Amino acid sequence: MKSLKSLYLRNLMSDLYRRRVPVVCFAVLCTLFFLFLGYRNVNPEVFLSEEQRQELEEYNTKIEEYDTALTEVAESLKLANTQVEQQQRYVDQSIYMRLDSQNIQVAAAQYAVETGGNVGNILSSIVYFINEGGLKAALSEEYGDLDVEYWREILGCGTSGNVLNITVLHYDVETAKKILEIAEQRIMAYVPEVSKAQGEFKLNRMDMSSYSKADAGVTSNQNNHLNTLKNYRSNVADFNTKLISTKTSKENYIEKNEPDFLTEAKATKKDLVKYGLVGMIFGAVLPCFFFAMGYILDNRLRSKDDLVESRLNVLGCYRSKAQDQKDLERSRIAVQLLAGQQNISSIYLDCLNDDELTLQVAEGYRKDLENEELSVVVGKHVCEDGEELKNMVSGRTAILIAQTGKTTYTQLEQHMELCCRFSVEILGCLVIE
Amino acid sequence: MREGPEGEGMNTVKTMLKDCRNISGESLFLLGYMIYLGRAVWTSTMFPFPGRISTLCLLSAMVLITLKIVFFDRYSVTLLFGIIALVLCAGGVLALGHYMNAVFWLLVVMGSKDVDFGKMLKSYLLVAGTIVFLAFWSSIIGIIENLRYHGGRGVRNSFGIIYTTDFAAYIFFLLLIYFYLKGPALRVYHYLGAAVLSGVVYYFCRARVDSICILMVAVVFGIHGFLEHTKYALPRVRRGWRWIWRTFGLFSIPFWAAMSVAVTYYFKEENALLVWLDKWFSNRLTLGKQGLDEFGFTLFGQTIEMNGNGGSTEWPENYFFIDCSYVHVLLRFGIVFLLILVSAYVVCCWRNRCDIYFLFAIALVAINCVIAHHILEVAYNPFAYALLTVPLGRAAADSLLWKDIGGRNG
Repeated sequence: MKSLKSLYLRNLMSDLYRRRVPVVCFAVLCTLFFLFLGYRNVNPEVFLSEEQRQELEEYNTKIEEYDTALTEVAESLKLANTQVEQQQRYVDQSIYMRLDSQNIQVAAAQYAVETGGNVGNILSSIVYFINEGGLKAALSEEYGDLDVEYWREILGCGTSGNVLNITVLHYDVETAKKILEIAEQRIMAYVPEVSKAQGEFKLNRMDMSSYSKADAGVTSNQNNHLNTLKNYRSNVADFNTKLISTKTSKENYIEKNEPDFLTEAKATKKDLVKYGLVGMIFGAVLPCFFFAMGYILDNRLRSKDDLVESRLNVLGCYRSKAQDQKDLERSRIAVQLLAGQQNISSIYLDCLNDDELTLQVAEGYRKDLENEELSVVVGKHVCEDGEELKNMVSGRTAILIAQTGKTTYTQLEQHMELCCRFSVEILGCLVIE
Repeated sequence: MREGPEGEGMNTVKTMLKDCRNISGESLFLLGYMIYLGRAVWTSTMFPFPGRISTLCLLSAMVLITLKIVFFDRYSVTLLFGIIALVLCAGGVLALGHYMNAVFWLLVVMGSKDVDFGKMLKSYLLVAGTIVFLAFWSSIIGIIENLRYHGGRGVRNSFGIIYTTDFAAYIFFLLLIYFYLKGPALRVYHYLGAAVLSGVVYYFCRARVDSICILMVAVVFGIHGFLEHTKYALPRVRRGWRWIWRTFGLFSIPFWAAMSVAVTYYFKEENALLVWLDKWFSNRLTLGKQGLDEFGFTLFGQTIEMNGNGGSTEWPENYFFIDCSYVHVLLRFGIVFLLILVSAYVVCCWRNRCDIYFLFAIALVAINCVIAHHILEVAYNPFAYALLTVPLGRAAADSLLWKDIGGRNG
């Protein structure tokens, strides 16, 4: 059986308008649903199941462990870098490291302490001043580029009885002498301070000389410093390797173990608007889809207009919700006139459905239509019941009575084919809405 | 009607089904078809689709279609033997190639017996059109990804579908079906609109051959419209046009199938013309030839792993995908199935030989299938299921509701 129904846009629009309240409600629900989906994407952690929470917790704990390890390694690396830096600076700048162990320039001076007091205390004070005290205070600008920072190793002192011996090691004899002079000046300036504490004394220079010497111990010490630098550098390399390895482990762990609900790009709050918009589109499109699907799947007559388009003569329409039936009244008059014109004496009202409303409308129409010259018969089941078919054929004229939502196009076609076969003229169709 | 206890049982179930809101076999099939189609189209978009729901949709669709076949269909002896042969072939493809496609195709074809083809096409337009529309706008707004491929041809958009040429294919098939259903009601603005659409699709998707197919829809239907509705067309030209289509249009699919397989089989890098053709078709001949050399011809197909584009912008490792439908079916489903498929199309064309628009549609599908693998895909090509349906009957006999009844109507 061929389908003769077409999808009318206006029917779709009228369906949407007639059911506007549920359609609008659906659209709102759809929008809310999508907003909920958007909110879920913005805050995925809120909607996790117990299992997912546990998984996320384990995952976060592991990530924290990796982060802690990375922080520790980074700190160690920073420390190691500082050590390298300092050691490198020492190696590059210290006087001791620049000494030529086979040609060390030495400037030396001996001083005698003359006192009635305790020589040992006096010498201790002076030695302490030389080793730990203000002897290595910063120099003023008049001394040019001389820097006291590395004097600790090159400036040494010793005592023997009441004699104080000061030596200065340097690679340049003049600089050694200059340092010795500065040291002497500072010691001499310190003497009054010591006198206050230890009693009056005199510090006389006995001798000042300079010479060069060789000292294998210097080489050994220099090598120790260089080895220390090498160790520090090795530490830095180790820490760098450990840092990279920990980072790689972390990345591998994330790649293999990151929960699926985290791998999706997290939405921002701005995306909520997008979700709402898409929800509105879905809410608008889906009702149209369902109504259109109904049209395609459903073979039932939807409205009088569908038959008007098919050129089946629609005589009138009974509207069940209307107060008066002017359309039906008008059609009755038209049929009576037509019957008079064509000398029709009998009309068969063929009810395509046998429900109460159809029969009621048919009966009412029959009563209004029937008169002395025109007999009207109501019948149903002409396709199945031989007697009814006989009644219809004997009348030779029929009016089909269809009901929207009940009568199918197939039924209409069947009855029309039957009428064609038995040469029964179809005046038209009454539609019950 | 069957008699005996079994027959009574069947009739009871059938009556129950009919009584449930007047369900007919056609409605049952269309519902199953829509679910099957909707699932297939949805999985070709970037929308998420949980595996369980996908399986549920597939199962429910198959159940509905099977119910329709079991409770509403009757077969003649000839048709029954034909069905049995098809079942055996599909079974062979499943056993040897492990592909369910042939089985699903057969099930849908069987289920579509006596179903109005026009309704099937309208269902397709509705379902596929809605999902593609939703995917398009969702990708524009940014809820799902719009895969953008940057290459020699410029930026290619996929608009929510898994690949750019798939989107263009949807536009082609939707337009083709719309034009087919409209038929004689097509006007100049339809043809112009299609031509513009072809340009737009090319601009945004850079899908060359699909854009040309869209343009050809406008051209072929346009020429027919011009010949039918203009006084300038000579009757001889009009008759000749119809005769050509009704004679040769039946063989569009076999022609293009034979051409594609032959050109692929005889492809050599020494042949400058074929090399140029291959370059223009983005290495489809090379890949097809590689497939034929590596896997060869089989009767009922074989399992062939293919890695193609789609779903992401990254080029797959070891890219190997045969786009030509005919070579694709030949390699995966075998010679027998390809012959059956081609024959089915010829039979469809024969049954619809009075409907020239159907012949146009099949010819355009045949050309499109040279460069795309959609000949058997429910998501793209509903014409694959026209074999047992009731033809649209545009030029066929009586539509009583639309015919003058005793000169009183209208």
